[in-house]
Amino acid sequence: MEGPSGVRKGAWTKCEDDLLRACVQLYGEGKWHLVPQRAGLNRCRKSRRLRWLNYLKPNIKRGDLSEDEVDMMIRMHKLLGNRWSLIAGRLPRRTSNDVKNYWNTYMRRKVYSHKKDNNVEKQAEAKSTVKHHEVIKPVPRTLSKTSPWLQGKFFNSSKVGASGEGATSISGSGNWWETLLDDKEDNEG
Amino acid sequence: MAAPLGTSLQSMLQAAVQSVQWTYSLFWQLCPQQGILVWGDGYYNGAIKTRKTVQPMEVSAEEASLQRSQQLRELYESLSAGETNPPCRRPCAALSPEDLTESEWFYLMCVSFSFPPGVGLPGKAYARRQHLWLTGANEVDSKTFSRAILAKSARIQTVVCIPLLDGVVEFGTMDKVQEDLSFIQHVETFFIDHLNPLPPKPALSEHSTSNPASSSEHIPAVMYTVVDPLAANPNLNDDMDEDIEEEEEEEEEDEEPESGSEDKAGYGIARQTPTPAMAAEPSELIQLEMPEDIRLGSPNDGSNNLDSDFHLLAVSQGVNTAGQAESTRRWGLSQNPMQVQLPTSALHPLEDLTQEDTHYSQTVSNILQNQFTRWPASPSSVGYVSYSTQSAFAKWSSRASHHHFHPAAAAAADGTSQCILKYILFTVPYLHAKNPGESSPQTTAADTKLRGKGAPQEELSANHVLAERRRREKLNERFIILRSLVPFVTKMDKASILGDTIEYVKQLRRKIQELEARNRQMTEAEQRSKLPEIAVQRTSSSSSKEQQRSGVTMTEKRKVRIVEGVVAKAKAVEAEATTSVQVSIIESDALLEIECRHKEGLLLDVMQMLREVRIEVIGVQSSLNNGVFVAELRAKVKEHANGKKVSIVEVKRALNQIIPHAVD
Repeated sequence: MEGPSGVRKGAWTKCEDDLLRACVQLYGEGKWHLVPQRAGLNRCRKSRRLRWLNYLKPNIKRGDLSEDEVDMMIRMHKLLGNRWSLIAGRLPRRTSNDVKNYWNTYMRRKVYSHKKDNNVEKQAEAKSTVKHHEVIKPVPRTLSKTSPWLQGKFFNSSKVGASGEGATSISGSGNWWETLLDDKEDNEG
Repeated sequence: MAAPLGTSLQSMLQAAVQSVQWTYSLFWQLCPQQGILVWGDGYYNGAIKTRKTVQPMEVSAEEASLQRSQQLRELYESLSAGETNPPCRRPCAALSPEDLTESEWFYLMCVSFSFPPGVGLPGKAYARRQHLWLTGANEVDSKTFSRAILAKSARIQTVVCIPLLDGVVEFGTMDKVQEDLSFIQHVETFFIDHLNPLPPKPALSEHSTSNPASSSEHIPAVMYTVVDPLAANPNLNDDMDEDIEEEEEEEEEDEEPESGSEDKAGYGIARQTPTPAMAAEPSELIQLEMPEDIRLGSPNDGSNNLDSDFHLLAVSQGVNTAGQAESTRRWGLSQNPMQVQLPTSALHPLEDLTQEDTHYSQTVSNILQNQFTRWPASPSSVGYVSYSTQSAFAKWSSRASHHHFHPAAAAAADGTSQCILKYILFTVPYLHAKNPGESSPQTTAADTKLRGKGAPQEELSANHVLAERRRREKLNERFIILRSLVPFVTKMDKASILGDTIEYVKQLRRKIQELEARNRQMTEAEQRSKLPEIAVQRTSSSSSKEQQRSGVTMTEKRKVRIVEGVVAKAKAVEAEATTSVQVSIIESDALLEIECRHKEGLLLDVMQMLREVRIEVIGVQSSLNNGVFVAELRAKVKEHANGKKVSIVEVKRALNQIIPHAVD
């Protein structure tokens, strides 16, 4: 496909790669503005240079970085920051594009996931501190008539001058705060 | 990283590397704390880029190399410091990373390396106490030489490590040099000569002299030709003479590396793994986690204390009592947690005030409207009452006096209502034991979140939303508790709950004052006077008429008379208590007030009788004072099977049959 200005875009084809490689072999690197005249390529100058530097150069090393290269990259990134050309210059046969892509793909995610773990831990702590509170509501007490003890008690209470046998206290173990109120109202101390 | 010998070490390194015309020399020093070899000092004697040289005068090659070594050191420190601090402006003459040659990069990166004993070339030389000569350093595997990648880009071909002093001396060059015994002896002799003038280190020199003996034993296995000692001596002398006379020549870079056919394999040096980098990260994690552990420790301690308080309440609650005497003991036990909770409640109001400012103003405005409507209907009389020191309600009297002081200070009704509202909000909810336990860790957790620095904007808003949600949840829980505590709450909204709570607290205070006055009169043994009558608030005019009729028409054997504010005739010898029964029924709500002599199981009998006449008791407030039983019952009146409700006369007649009377 060609753009409105006649410059081709998209992925490079094998024919274009062959033309660029032959041109560099014949005329050498540099002077990328003369490539259309020499090789007949309809690519912009930046694309031509990047295609050669990052892909078509013969001594470029392919594949993933080894452990030593990763270790060296970490050390240099610590000193230099995101200056990929300086870092790639110290790793033989590696391009700055490879170093940049490797860092942004693997290393930065490790650093980001490390920070994310801390946030997850904080949220977990927040959830554990929120406790569900039990609400205690007063329930009216109902005394059933079928209880034989109550019937006996009623029979006894009907007598005149009978001493009470009542050993049960209604303020037993119902609601705990009601006993607090009763204790406060008690005069005997 | 302070070298033990200081400047003399650097001068020795400088003299040594210049005498043999190699590229660089390093001293790996043993760190006593960690037990690893770290960069001690170094001297760079290689190629220098002159693109940005700002020096006005031409300096000799030696001075240029010396300045270069110092500048490389400063560059490394500024680059490593730039990681933590924002990049500050560096002086004009300082180096920048773009100005370095490949070999300078190798020298610079060596500063960031460290070797445990037995790991890496310097570590292995230190562990074996032997020199290690590595030829073709830029072509070997990284397991043999961990800096092989840097050596390849810098074209360093030969590296020598010699254990000396307390560490290892390393030399490197771009030329391919085969192992040379005279080189080793020259360097060792050079360092030993510098140490001879120091008399307090004879053991060290003896240790150094033992190295040539041990290294000479390995010579026959490595050498190709036998060196004649007589011929070697004049060569050394000639070399020394040549060093003095001739100038130092620049080293040429070898563009094309030679084939490695003559490389010596068999170096069993272990590859240096990125252990130092991995070891640094866990320590940072530990440092980050330490302050959080310390923070989390304090809420645990708080919860432990609160658990003990709750356990004390549980113990007092677990005691089953049959009589009123043991309830007094329970009151004594329950005093202790109240005392413990007081300082806790003192802290929470300050925090609640900051959080509840908006909601507080709305609630106050709602209550003040209710107060204004109630103010003309029931004007409250403030009477001065003195309390005895031996009273059982010493704590309550102090609060009552505090309450009385405020109306005198602030004449406006707003002040009084505001004080009551604050008192209720901060005191009544804390009767529940779980409340302080829950609010403390929540507050700590919220503070921990807010203190997190560098949190993004989304996290800040999320923390705020969670904090607000937690605050509302806490408020709603407290309102539910308050509603369950106050016996006559009618509505569900917060304003009604607070208003009813205010009324309830006022009633409790009024009852306390009456009981205090009654107790004092009995104690003084004065002549019995007219007791204050308990006002029935919900008595209607129709019910009062019915009471008068029932009094007139009642005829029974005992001729029991209903006492309403009139002291019954009693014998002079016996001091008997008064007996009174008051019943008021409005539609389906009933209020019964009983005052009589105490009897075992009296309350049970009363409630059982009420159930028979279709009256369901909702709330009971009872007290016992010197054998006098006082109770106030609130109930709902239900219809009988025939659809007829019980009348006041029937209820009174039934109650009079149960309660004990004075024996005539």
